[in-house]
Amino acid sequence: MSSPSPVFDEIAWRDTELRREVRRCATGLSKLAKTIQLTEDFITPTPRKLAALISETSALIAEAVERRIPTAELAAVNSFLSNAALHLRFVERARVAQTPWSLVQPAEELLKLAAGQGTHFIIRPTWSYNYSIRGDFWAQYKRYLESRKWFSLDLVRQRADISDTEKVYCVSFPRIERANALLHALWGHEVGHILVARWVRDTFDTEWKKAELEIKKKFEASVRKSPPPAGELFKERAIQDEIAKLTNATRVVAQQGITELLCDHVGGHLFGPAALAATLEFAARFSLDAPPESSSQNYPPWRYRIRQIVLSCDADLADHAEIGYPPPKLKPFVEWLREAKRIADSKSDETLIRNNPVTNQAYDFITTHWTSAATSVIGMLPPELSKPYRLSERYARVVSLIERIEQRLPPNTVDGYPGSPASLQDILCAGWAYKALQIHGNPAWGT
Amino acid sequence: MSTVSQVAIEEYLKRGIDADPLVVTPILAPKQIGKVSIDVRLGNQFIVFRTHRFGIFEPAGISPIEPQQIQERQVIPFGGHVVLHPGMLVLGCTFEYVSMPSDLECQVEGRSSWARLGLQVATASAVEPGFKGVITLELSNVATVPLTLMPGIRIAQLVFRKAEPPVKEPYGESRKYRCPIGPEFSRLHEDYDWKVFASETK
Repeated sequence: MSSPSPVFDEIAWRDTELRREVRRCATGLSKLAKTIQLTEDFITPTPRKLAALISETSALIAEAVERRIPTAELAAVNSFLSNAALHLRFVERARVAQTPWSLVQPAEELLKLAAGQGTHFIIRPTWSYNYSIRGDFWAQYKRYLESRKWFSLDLVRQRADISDTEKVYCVSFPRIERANALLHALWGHEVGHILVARWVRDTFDTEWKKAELEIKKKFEASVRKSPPPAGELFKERAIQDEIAKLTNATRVVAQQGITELLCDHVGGHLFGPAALAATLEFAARFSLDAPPESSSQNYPPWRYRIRQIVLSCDADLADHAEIGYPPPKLKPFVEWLREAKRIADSKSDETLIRNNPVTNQAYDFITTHWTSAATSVIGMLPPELSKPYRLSERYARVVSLIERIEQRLPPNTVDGYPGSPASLQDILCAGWAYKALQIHGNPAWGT
Repeated sequence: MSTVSQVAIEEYLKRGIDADPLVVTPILAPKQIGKVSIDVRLGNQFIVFRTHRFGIFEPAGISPIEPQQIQERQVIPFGGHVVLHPGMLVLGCTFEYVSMPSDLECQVEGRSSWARLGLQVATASAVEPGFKGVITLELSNVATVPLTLMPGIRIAQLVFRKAEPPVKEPYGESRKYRCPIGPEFSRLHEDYDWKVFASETK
């Protein structure tokens, strides 16, 4: 007679299976990250830093799986590993051959200066036509791991050689624009996200709370005029729900709107007309008046964004006859940028914003808080970058760089021999101005 | 044709941009300019052979293999290094971008300290008046011990000689290697006389 089969313990089965799988994933991820760290060529140490962080973190998780991680946490640990594995793609795509490598080093230096020392940037291409920033990865890992009793963050710090003051971000650019160095002036916008996130965290909530009551009142007046359909019993509830929905939507539009506009402002501050030119060229492929809505992640209309950057570059778009600005070599560039002014003069985007009660209230909030927010964000930059880039103040240097490009020389030094190194901002401006000069003579140039 | 000395080299370097200057940029240390030469540094781009892919390369275009198929570009970050094994040929380039005036030609020569270790830096060493770009270096190790080369080290020297009278049509748009910013793949197949050889061989 056979003995009765033991009762199947599904909880024990899951624990065994999941523990084995998590250990396998953690070990595999650690090895993969280590291989990428050791074998790939990168132009800066940052991609290796993130690879080492992922490798050491997952190795420590693998060590902890057997005895220390509670069963209830295994699924969450698995999700954490899957997420960290996704981050390896940022490292892998930052290989030398995939990046505009000669620009990556100086750009990372400038971005580090703007965002604060201890901040590291991976610069990598993405197949989508977009510039974006992700991270800080180290903060994400710490947030999850610091409360786990079975994990030692100190060991990660030690093994991956990373301190708590360090931050690791990834800036992405469109793959097909790899060699288009001029468009990469948009990286200034991306570094703005780091500064603006601080402003949002420290100030936005407070300012919103102050404004919220007034905004609710305005919505209440309009909602009561035409209340949402509901029976008498639920009428008041429906009205309050509608007011809350509109207020929340306004908050989202306001936060996203002011964030993007402030980032543009940082880009304009750092790169001046080069940022405006890059924004114009990028925006030309989209509708300029697409209103902020969830399908467009509530981004402000391009026309509105261009208008704000024009404001920050206004001094460079004017004639300054007393100093001979713009000189002939910059004239086509300045003329080209003045088209941005004409774009900004149209108020078609404003009309759309004002016709919608949510965007209307959100952009009222943005307008009210713009000056103090912009001052506050620019105030976060180090003293070396506190002054906005002004082409009208640096045009002699930029013209000398254009002359070098015309002579087929790299625009890397100014003032002849031995000269002094040109700044990245001057180089980008000279590049844009040279492009405008060429297009002025031949509209098909460069195509 | 006399070798141009330090004083004259500096005069050429200081010429205005419209006055047909000699440009070697960037010169990181004034000491690079010697009595009769300018030391140049190793750039960080290389072309290396992919010997595992193809057995034979016929430059006249008889075979369909392009140089890019037997060689590939590599970029070594500053701070990194490349190891040159005995018998190995790697194309490197100067860190400096050079623009030659119409009345100077130059020879790329090795530095004796490196030569004593077995490094040869250039076999096609003449740079014509009017040339602009980084100079491709044919790096080979003829010793028996591997050599470690780091981008940024002083690897070669440019020795200038007057071209008298100045050439009428300096190295220009019609030439094979125009304003290179890294080592260039061979364009032997673009030589006018290769067409003759190719048709004869077919």
